[in-house]
Amino acid sequence: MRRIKHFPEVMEIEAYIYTAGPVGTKWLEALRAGRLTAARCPKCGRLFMPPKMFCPYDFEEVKELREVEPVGVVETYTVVERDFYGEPLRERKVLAFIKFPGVEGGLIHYVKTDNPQMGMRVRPRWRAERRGLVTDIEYFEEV
Amino acid sequence: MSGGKPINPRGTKYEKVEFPVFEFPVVGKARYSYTTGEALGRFLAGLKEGKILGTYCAGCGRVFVPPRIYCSYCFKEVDGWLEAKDEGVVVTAVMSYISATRARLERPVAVGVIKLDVPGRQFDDHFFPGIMHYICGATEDDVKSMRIFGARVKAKWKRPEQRTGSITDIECFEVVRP
Amino acid sequence: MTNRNLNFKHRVAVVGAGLTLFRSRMLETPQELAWLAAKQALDEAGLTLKDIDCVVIGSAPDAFDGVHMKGEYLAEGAGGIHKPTIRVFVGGATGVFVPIAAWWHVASGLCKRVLAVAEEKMSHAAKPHTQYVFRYIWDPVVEKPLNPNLIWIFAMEMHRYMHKCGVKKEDIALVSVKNKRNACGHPSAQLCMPNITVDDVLKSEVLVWPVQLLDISPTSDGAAAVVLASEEEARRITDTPVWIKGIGWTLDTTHWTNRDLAYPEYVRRAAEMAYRMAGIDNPRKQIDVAEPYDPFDYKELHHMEGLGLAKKCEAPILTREGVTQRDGDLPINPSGGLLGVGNPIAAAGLMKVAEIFWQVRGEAGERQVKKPVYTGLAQAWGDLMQAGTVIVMGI
Repeated sequence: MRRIKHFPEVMEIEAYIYTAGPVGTKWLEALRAGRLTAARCPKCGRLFMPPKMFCPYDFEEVKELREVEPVGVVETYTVVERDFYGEPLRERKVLAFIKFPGVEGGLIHYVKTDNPQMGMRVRPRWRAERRGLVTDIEYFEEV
Repeated sequence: MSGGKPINPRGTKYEKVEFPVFEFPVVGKARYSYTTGEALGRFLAGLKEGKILGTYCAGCGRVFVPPRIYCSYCFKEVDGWLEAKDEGVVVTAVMSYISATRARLERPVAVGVIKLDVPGRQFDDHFFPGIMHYICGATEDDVKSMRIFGARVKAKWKRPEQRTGSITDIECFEVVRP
Repeated sequence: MTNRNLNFKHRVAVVGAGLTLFRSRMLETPQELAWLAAKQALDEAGLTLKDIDCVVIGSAPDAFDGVHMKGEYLAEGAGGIHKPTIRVFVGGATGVFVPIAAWWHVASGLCKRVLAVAEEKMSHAAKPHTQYVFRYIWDPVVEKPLNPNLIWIFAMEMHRYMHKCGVKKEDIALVSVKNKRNACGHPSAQLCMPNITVDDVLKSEVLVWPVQLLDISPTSDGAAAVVLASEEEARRITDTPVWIKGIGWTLDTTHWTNRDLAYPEYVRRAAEMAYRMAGIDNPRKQIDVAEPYDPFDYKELHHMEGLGLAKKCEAPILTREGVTQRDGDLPINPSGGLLGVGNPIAAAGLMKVAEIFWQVRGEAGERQVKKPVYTGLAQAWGDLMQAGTVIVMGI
C-alpha cells in the first residue's frame, strides 16, 4: 500500500475578537448589570433578542433597549450527553432555546433541570461576577 | 456638475476595547492535514531522488511544473511525464525582510520564480515550467538592481539521506557564476 | 438594446449607493455594517426594503469576519430575509462581482429591483494579525513549506513589472501619493494624507523589496451597497439613472509561477468582454474616469494597462505627467482608492462602483473630476492574482 503523505497545518489565527455593535454592547452591559433587555424597533414596535441596530423587517434603525421580565419559556431543548471529542460527559446538560413573551428571537442557554419540558418556565441564574457576556447567566432554572 | 448630495457614511470606530467583546481563541482548534494528490505526490517522490518532474500535454505542447494530471487548457488528461533540469533562469526575484508572521528577519532572504530548462523545449514568457523558491548567492544589491533577473540558477539539493520528499529537499536555487 | 454577442432582456441601471466609514476597527457587527450601507443606498434611491425583489451579497473569505457561511449570516443586514438571496465570492475581485451578479438578476428579467451589498470586517481576525488569514492562499504542498509571506507574491509581480517596463520605484510611489491625497475628499476615508510625498513612501518600512509599507492599502472594516433596477423601474425611481453598459469577468490559473506576471491577462479579458458589450473600441478615449483596483500602488498601473487605458508600460508615464490626477485627462481613482479610502476587501471594490455612480451623476462633491463624465469604469482583482472583474457605467 502506498504511504500517504500529509502536510499538517495549524490555523495561525490565535483569536477572533467579536464586537456586539452599538446596541448589542448596551445589551451586554445590561447583562453585566444583571438585567435582561430587548431592542425595540421604533417603527413596528417589535422587540428583538439578541438585539441589532436595525429591524430586519422594515430596515429601521433600532436604538432603544427595553427591560424584559426575566422569565422565559423553553421553546425546545436538547440533552447533551457527550463532549466535542465524543467522550461521555460526567453530567448531562440540557441546552434550550428560551423565548420571552412578546419578544422576537430568544436565547440559547443551559437549563438546570432533571426533567426538561417544552413550555417550562425558567429564569436566569446570574453569576456573582459578570463580564458583559451571555455567560453572565450561568444557567436558567425552573421557576 | 459638482456639489450634489453629500454622502454621510456612518460607523463607530474604536481604538481600544473598553466595552464587552467576545474573544474566541482558535489555536489548536483548526488543524489541517493536506494530502498531495496524484501529480504532486509523484513530483515530491521525484524530489527525493533529486529529480524535478513535470507533465506535458501533447495537444498544446504545454509543460506543467509543478505537475498536474490534466491540461486545464485542452481539458484532457496529460500525455505523460518528463524530467526538467534542476536549473533555469530567474523570472522575478524579491528580497524579503519579514518572516511569514511579519517579524523582521535578521538577514533578508531572496526568493523568486525560476523558469526551468527542459531539454529539447523552448518556452516564452507567457507559459513555462516554473517554481517559487529561495535564491542563494544573490546579494541585496543583485536583487534591488534587478541584475538577478535572467540569471542562471541551479538547485542546491539536500543530501539524499536528508530528503523527505518535499519542496524543501531543494535548499535553494544557487546563482551560477560564469 | 444592441445585441453584441450577448442576450439580455433588460437594460440595467444603478439608482442608489451607500457606504459606511472605512476604519481599521469598527464597533458595528458585520450585519450592522451591511445594514448601514444598504439602508443608505435604499434611502438615496428613495426606496424601502419592500421594493426590493432580490438581494446579492459579496464578501471575501469567511475567516476575516470569523463567521462561516458569511453570506447567510449577512443576509439579515443586507435585506435578504425571505427574498431570493445569493452570495458571490471571487476574492478581492468580489466587490465588482457583486453588481455584475446583480446585473444578471435584472437583465434576465428575473428581478426588477436588486439590492447589492458588500461587507468585510477584517478586525475580527485580531490576534496576532489579520494578515494571517491570507496564508491559506498558498499551495499547501509546493509553496507553504517555504514559509512564504503573502507580500512575496505581490513583490514578485511588482518587480517583474518594473523589470519588464523599466519602471522606477519613484514612479510607482506617485500612485500612492495621489490616492492618499485624493482620499482627503472622501467622507469614508481611512487614510487621508494631504501632505504625503514620494519620499515618505520610499522611506517607509521595507517589507519585501520592492514593496514598502506605504505601497500597500490598510486592513479595514466597512460595507458598501448599490441598488440596481430595470430600465422601466429606473426611470420611475430617478431622473438620473446610471446605466450599466458592460460587464466582464474572467479567471486565470492559480499556478501563478507558470505565467507572465508583467501583464494582467485576466483583466484584459474581463475588460474586453465588458467593452464588447458597451460598444467601446478605444477605452483610452471613451472612458472618462476609472477606478482600477489599487490594493498596492503598482496594481493601479498594472490594471490601467490591462484595461487598455494605457499601452503596455505606459501607465507610469501617464501618472508622472499628471494625466491620472482628478483634473487630468484620464482621472484614475479620484475616490482615493483602496490606498486612501481603505480596503475592507469586498466593500472596497463596491466603493469603486459607488464612486463611478456619483462621478457620472456629477454628485462626487469635491472629488468630482474636472472633465465631464459620460462613461466610467470600475475594476477589481483577486484570488491568487487571477480574477478580474470589470464594470462600465454611463449616462
